[in-house]
Amino acid sequence: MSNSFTSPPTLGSELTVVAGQPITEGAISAMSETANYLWAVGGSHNCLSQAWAEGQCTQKGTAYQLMLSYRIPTISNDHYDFHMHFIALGPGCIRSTLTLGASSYTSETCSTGAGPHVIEQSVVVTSASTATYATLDIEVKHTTGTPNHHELRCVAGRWVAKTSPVDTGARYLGTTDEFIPFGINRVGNDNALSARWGVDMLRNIETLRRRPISYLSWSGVDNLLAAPTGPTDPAPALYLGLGDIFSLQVPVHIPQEVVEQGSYTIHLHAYLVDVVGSIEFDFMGDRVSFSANGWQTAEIEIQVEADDDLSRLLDLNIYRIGPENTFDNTEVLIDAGTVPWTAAKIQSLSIWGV
Amino acid sequence: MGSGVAQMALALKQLTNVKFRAAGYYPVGRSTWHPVLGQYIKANYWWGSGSISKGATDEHDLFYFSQPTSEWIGLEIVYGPSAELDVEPEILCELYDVSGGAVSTKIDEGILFTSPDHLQRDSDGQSVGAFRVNTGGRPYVFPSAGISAPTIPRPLYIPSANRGDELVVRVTATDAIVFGVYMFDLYLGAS
Repeated sequence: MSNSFTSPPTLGSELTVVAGQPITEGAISAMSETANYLWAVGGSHNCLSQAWAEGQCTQKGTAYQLMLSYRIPTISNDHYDFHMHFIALGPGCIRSTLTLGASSYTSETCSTGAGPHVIEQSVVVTSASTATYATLDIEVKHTTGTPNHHELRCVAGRWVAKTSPVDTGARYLGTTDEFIPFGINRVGNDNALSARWGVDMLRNIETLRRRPISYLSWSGVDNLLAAPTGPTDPAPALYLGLGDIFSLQVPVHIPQEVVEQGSYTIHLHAYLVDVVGSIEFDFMGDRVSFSANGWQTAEIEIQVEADDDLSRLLDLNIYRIGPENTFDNTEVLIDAGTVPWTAAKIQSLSIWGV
Repeated sequence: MGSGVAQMALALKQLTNVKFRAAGYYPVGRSTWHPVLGQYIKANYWWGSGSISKGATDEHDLFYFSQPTSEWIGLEIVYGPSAELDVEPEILCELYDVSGGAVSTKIDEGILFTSPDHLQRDSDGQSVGAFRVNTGGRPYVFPSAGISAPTIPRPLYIPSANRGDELVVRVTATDAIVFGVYMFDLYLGAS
């Protein structure tokens, strides 16, 4: 029996499956195909997005330097192809390493175009993994030619959607979130509607509701060949700063019901440096304390109110995701008042919702 | 059949047309060189720090991995108008297909944010600042002959042949700089 689906899906009408309606119009088939489609395709849009102004994310060195680092949520154990697009400029190479649990996978792409050009790169996970997030490190080097650097203007990534049919047997996200694909030949009009179908559909919906959605992927730019000495040199942000309080307020939809129930979790992964003791940052109404360097994680409940204006414009409950405009953040995020800033700093920040 | 199954149908609609809408949230990194201190601050040290000379443009090609259900893309742009006197900032947003490893065919002629209708101007040449502007969330009714030039701000339209494709939103700011571009499928109900 094939766990097939059509794309885009034909949605089953809720009006035809209420009590008193005959089971003849294919709603059960449509719902089953939609569930299969959502497992294969849902959440396969951008989970990594960042851009830079001209001349900022630039590498002049001819040996690989680790410049960017992100945390990426996985969307299932089945999605194994992490596909990235870059807008690059100048001759050079990009090497991306994706680490899930103890396993790492690498892809390298070189290009020579002097002007802005598209680079596509896939990192393929070849061993089954139950990791619910990955660490992505991006190294860059310049190769011989003109101009004298390799520059990134944009980086974007996503998990490639699976094609029909969904693989057989129980599917998983991590170790506990289970999805039972529907054999489409068994849910046609001439088949009995079993209680098992309802049990599986309820579980599948719950599993799909727990699939993470990426909100923010921000990385400082590290390891420039030389520190800038003037206004025309590359001087990208390496750390989260005071100015990011305004620009990193990402407008995202979160259903109001789950916010009220407290059943929605914001996953926050931050890479910290220079932590001595502990430091606290404010995100979405929560105060998050970090007490160690390197990648640190926190799970918080959103406490802020919805953005009323944008919610009305978009007919959805829109919340702002990012560092909050609080007194504490204005104290702990970098400003120009103290140079160099010796206190703890955030060098990368990835946020997603589950 | 009963309300339980109807709720499952509604839940699948919600997942398809609400939760799994495509989106791409792009912070745009800029120089953190402090022109007065003459130092590399290593972070965005103030709201809307940056500079742009008169008439200069700030262009970004931003990838948007659309979904088969995508149709209209809403945008919110965080920008700063030039600190030069007598400028009228503009931001042009266009939609392209990606084909053969390159930014390819323009599939929406685009939209133009202008000042003072949509964008902030600077009256005294003192500061850039940071402001937000968006497309709103209402689909646009195209004239029967189509369009051949950018329109007033509206969501960008993905033709049915391109839904599910890898696309590029090209944002070109003139006399303004871009700090962030947040793009998302519009919610138009589910049927």
